[in-house]
Amino acid sequence: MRTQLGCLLVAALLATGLTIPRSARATPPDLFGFGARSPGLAMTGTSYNDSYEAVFLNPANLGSVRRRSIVFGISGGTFDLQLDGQRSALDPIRGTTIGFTLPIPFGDILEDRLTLGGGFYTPANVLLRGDVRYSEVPQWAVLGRGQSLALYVALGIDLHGIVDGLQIGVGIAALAALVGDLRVQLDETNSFQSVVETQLLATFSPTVGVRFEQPPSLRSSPTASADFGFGVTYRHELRADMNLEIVVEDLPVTLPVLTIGGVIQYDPAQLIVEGYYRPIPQLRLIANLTARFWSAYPGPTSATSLSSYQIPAVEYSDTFTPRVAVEATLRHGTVDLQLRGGYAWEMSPAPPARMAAQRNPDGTVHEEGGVPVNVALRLIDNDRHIVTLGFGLAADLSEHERLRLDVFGQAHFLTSRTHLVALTSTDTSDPLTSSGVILMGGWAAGLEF
Amino acid sequence: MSTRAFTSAVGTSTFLVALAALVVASPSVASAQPMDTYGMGSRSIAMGGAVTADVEDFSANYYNPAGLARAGAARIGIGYFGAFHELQINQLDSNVDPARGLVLGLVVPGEIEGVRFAFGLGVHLNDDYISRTRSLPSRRPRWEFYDNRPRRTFLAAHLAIRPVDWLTIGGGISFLSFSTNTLSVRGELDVLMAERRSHLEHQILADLTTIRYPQVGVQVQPIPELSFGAVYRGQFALDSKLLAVVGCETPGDPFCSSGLNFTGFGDPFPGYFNLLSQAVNAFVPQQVSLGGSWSPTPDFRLNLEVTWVNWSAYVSPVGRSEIELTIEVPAALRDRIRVPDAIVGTTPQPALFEDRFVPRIGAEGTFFRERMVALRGRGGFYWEHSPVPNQMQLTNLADSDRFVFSAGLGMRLDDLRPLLPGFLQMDFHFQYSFLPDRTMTKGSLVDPVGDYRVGGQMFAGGVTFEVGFE
Amino acid sequence: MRDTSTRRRSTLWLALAGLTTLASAAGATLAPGCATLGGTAGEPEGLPHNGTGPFRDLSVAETNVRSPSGAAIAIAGVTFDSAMVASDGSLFYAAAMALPRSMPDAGMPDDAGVPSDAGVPTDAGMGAPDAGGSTRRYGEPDWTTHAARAISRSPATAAMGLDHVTQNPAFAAGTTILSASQPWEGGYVSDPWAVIRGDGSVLLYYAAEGGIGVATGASVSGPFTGGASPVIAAGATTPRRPSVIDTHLLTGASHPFLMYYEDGGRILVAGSSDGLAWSPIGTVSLTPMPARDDRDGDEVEVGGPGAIVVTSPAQRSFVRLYYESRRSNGETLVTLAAAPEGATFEAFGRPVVEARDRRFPSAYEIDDRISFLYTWGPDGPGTSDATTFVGIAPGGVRLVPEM
Repeated sequence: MRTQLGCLLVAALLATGLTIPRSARATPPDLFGFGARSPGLAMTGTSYNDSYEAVFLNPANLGSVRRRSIVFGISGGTFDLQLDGQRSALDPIRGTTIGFTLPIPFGDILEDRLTLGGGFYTPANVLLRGDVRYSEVPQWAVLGRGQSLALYVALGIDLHGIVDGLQIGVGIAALAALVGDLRVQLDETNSFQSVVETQLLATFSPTVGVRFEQPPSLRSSPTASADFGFGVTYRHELRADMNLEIVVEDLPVTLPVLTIGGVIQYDPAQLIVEGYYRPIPQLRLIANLTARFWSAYPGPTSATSLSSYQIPAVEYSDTFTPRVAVEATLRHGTVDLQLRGGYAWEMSPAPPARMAAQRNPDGTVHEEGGVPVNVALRLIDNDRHIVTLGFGLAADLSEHERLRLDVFGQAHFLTSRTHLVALTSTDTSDPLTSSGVILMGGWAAGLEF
Repeated sequence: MSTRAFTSAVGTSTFLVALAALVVASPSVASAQPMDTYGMGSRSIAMGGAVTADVEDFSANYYNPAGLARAGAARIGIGYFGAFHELQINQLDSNVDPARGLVLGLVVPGEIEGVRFAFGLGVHLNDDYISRTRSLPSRRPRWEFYDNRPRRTFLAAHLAIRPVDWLTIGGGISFLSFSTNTLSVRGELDVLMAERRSHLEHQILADLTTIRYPQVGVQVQPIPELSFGAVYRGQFALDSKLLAVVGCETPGDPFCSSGLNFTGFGDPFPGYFNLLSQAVNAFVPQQVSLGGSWSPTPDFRLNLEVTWVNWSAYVSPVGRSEIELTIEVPAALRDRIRVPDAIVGTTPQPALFEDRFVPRIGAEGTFFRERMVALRGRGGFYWEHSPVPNQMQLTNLADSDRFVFSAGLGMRLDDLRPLLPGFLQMDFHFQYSFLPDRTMTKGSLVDPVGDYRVGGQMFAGGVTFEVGFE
Repeated sequence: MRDTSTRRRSTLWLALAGLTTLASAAGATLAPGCATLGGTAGEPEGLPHNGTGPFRDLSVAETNVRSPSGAAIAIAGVTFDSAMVASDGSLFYAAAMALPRSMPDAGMPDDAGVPSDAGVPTDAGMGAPDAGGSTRRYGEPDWTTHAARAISRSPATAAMGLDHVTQNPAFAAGTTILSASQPWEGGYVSDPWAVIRGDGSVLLYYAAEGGIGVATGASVSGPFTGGASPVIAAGATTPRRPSVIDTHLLTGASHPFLMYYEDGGRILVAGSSDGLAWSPIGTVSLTPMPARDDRDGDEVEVGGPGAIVVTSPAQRSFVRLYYESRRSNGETLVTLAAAPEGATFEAFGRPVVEARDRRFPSAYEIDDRISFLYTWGPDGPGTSDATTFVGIAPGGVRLVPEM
């Protein structure tokens, strides 16, 4: 068996992956959050979210889930991104979310200890889009790549009785890499035939998390909710490569072997630290800091052939995103109403669009006459101020069943940014400026039973 | 019924109906069908797949989603599966790759105000890859049903409802994706030293778009000893398309930023190469299965089933390729570089498959039962008539009838409290397929492939573990 | 009480096992870069092949014969005429020693060939047909500068391996088995074609100045004695390249033996009940092979037939007739046609050999998937020497030396 058994087990856990080649450098959940509750709270949730959304936010939180649930949601958004005042043609984002939680009802020492969860985000039409242009073509390096599937499966473990209030969890995100060969050659009848063989390979990225909440013994009553909690999540880098080798034979001229591809999907490694505090039972205050290690991003494309030049180094830098959010809960009879709001500041990892040195196949700077050969690199990204709002309704149908509805809205305001090159190579006027607004919204309805 | 209870019941029913509608109307998760060939889950495979009227484990996600609502317990299953082929063309091994991988699934039942429902998830995950597509030259002989089609991940999620005791209804929608890739290449291509002195760049626009297809099923159990089932699986096809453009169609085109120049012979000269490769890589026809299950005693069960498979709608897997080549060769080089006036591509030929009916029979008997342990033996058989016609013309799709014999053993452990308030089940299966020799006779004596003989056998086996929580 | 304790302990072990499994899974998840690895798709051991090529010239490593690449036999100072491989795998060939040349006056060296000429097919020693109707057509050597042609046989040597079969694509120098001895032969014999009968005796057909004759031998080693008169006599033109098949496997064949031969730019067929006495039947009707592009020229003649009876895996027996399609630009393209009873041929319509200067094809079928095709051609660009080449189909099959 060529695959590690561990990988298979992991794959089994994660299961749901009709994962296909990615073409983005950030999955939609990484850009806009996952589900419908967390996106209304500035994409926080590492310390408190104990629904299916925890498969993405912090698998440890699943440890305290005691009900089965199944959830369905829809989300969508529109971009108004401007380059020199001209609107960029980016397709709106629409997608569906399915999530579930399944407490595993062991008895004895495993009672109320293990919970399995899964969450799947699928874009409405284009399951995945890979859009990697020539380096001088202006392209929204992070935001323009939101058409992508996202798949998560996680297991949460509650350590009650061992360390009360502590939960740990592991999860998996899955993507797919595409490798293949395309061979064009004459067949026995002197016709050109293309022989195409492609394989989708699963790539997995682990997520680990830990959460500590106020232990029940220290609460006002054993059934009361915790007044405070802390959570830490580490999500490993998730990348998918595309590598299509094209061999053309029998033409009157010789073509080199073409290697088409590169990194078509990239979520950087992330470390998320979060805490919440409830000064009164009806109010939750949340603070979050997310570090994204973008500096490891290798760039979108690889060399086209053995002797071809590579695009300049992208030189992304690590980012730190502070988030704050507040959630108020009002209860009337068997119905809970939650009002949510949040704010986050997302730094851009990308340096401004600029002229930069082309690279040789081995990665060194390409020089002619001792002078580096510069080409335009127009990977556009801006810092974002993100304001989120949302509400949730939960209706108890009985002691064990509950209906849930969550709704959210987001506005991303891109700070205006002036780059170091003009919009096109023929334009020698002012440098390029980028700005814009993104509006997102969505809902999710679910049943707990 | 109190007002609150009534409201609750209405709310629950409304939610379930709405959820079912949403699941049907929107992408859930599933993909192609390795189990069309090998089955899913050891118990079901051992019974020849004749379980449309008698399935409640996670394999119901393939055989009949209505069975999910029959499950009295939440189930988590995992297993491993392998199939090995000894398929031959002219008595030479075709080296059809083995199919191996994990199978797993969930069945999560619930009941609200007397409405019983269940959510199910089934997965078949290959060892080596999620999926593999292969587009071969039109004349290349290939085992159409076994070479590439099973090499896919299967994922299915379903919802089932049991509105009354004797009726369960289940359904879901599965999706696959087809890809459209556009590649552009530009730069300088050295005619003399293409590998060492060419400087090229590329860009990619790759879209994977979803195809949805439904699966719905029903089970009717008028009396405890008798059960009937019907299931419909929708049709889908994966259409992969790749367009590679090297250079500009019109030299100097201001709207084409991807010029290609040939170097190495004096002044550079422009060229343009356009390749379109398109092929249907996985076609799964619509299917209807009707089955019955009779259990005269608690220790014996006999299942009969027939499946109609609409193979006549099959789309040829032979790809289409179009090639266009333009090189502005300088006059001095025209003796060296001769560009043909036209390059002949290929066009797909109709497959002309026929529909088929697959009869199945399966039986299960308990031969040992103690307080905690029950051992069951199983057997099954089915016959798949080949839908592939004699390959007289261009294509060479190898196939023969398939006689499938299966057997299995199951062990169930009950009463495992306090740790496990439920049961553990372990099932093994073995499946043997015999494909008798079949001769393909060409219409032309100068056909490049000529007449050939196909046949062989296949071996498959696996094990499934399942944990049930009552 | 004891039962309870045992059960409790079992439960704990089970729990421990469960947690260990979970820990393993967790450990696996922590391994970054965890991924499926893909695999190389299996390739079939062999695919059906109907002898239509394209045949690839074997490399020097595959034949173990000195260059040129693809030569099946090479003997210093010898120029080869046409050849065929009999059903026992031995090579029957006609050849002649080149006569010593008189030394020219010392002077300016000949144009040794402009480097840029290399590889241009039209420079490959293949002149256009002589306007005067000379016998030196389509690259045929000038036999007047050679000793008399005789027929030799070379047994199989130097086995090469295919995974399930050992075959010999190339040959060492053989021994002469037939020289011109009859007046009608005009001093030379060429174009051998051997038919091995069930008792091991051999009918050796050959061409000479007076037509086509047959020699008989008790075995493939001979001795052979030429017939006192030709079985197909020359008329206004000289028939040559006899190719004879035993038709007992065919359905509907008109005679137990059929002979295909070339005469006047056509391929004719004759019939015989014993292989010794022949009566002409007529001209083989072959649809002209169309030009693929402006390099091919139009078909003006056909000739050089080489026939073989094959039985398909569907147990259909038929005649495969390889032949030369001679083009208006002086090139020769080797192609084939097939007929169920040896009379009504369906033409393939495309060349089976890439080279444009090959002649006198003779096929040898190894099995359902692999065939050799022996052809005659110039021994390098610009030379008038010639040799026998061996091609293999499918071209993707590679021979490796047997260990």
